[in-house]
Amino acid sequence: MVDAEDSVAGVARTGRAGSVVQDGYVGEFRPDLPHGTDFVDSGDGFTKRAADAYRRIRESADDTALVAMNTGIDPTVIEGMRQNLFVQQHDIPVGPHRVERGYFTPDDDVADLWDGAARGTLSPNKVAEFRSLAAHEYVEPRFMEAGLPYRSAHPDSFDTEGDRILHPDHPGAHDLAPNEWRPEAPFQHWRLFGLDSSGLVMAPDLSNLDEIVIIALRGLGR
Amino acid sequence: MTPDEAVQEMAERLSAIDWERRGDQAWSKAALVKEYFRRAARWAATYGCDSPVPFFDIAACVDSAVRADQRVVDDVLEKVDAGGRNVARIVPFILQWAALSASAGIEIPADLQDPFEPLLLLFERGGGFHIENGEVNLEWKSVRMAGWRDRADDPPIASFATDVLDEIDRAGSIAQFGYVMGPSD
Repeated sequence: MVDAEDSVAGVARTGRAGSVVQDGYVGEFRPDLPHGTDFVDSGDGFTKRAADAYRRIRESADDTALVAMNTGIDPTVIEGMRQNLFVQQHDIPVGPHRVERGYFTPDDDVADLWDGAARGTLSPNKVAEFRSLAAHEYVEPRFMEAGLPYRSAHPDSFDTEGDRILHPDHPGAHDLAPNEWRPEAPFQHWRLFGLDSSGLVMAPDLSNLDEIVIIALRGLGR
Repeated sequence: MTPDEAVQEMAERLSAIDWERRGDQAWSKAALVKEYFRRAARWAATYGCDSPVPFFDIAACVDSAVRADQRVVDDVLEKVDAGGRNVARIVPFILQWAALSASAGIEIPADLQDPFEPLLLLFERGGGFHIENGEVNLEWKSVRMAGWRDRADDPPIASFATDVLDEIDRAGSIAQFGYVMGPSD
């Protein structure tokens, strides 16, 4: 077992030379955007380091088994998280009736958290943080598959300053997914949408998230 | 005050923050985030800082020779762990700024202000924030990071007074939800 873990840890980063994206990589760039980027936000508000990491993880399907082993989370959930965060493009509202399609805007800290999970170097607190992120990122696309937008582009979902606000009449997949930052009450915000989350508990390995999605969709009449 | 004393004083402020997430102050925090963007954009423009993101080591851009004691930084990072991954990235920048601003020979241009004071106030109101998909998320309201440099010429925040910030939250909550949110909402 120790040998297997050592072997896996060794592969975690050193064994992925084939998946590293080199500078100048343009295969997925979007020529319709001003900076030719593949991410939402057109190259502003994120670092090249984060963008490179997201592209690398996008091509690193082998990460899923490593992350699942190192965090104790269901591999299906991990792969769903990877697909949502790094692999799939999304329609992202950036203003009233304004939607950009692209990969999620990269974030250095999310990339570092994923890489730490793949290497098996996260502290127990960081594993807990990763678990909360995984729950959110796995559930979000389940809601989108059921027809909800990532977030609403309805004008009511933006305030007079143009900032995105949560509006009870326009829930999006992101809004209904478990709140990563309230791990003790990840579904408390459902009541804003008239949904009952009493008694809902996520399994330690997050294996019951599909059931939780069904409960929410039923509550929404879908 | 020496740079070490300033760093220690800032360490104590940061270590005293309650990081439990709350959304009832989302509206004042959004105003404070925008004020931080405004100030950071002005520092970036004046000193030619090339950071693509608004949260960066402004002190290093101004004078990279002045650094906070790494042992103090590490100690504070342990104490702010509950703030999450984004807070852990930003807190060292605040400590580095404390060291720089107390250094002899550092003169802050008259048209620039302490960049991190809005963030400190935001944190001290409780709960912090997180960054997701290019936005600063404050629970019920989010501020996009893209275009942060364009805020350099925005009007400054009217006041940091608690009653003013509380009124921003009261009005924002009523406009958005029709009632005043509480800390546990």
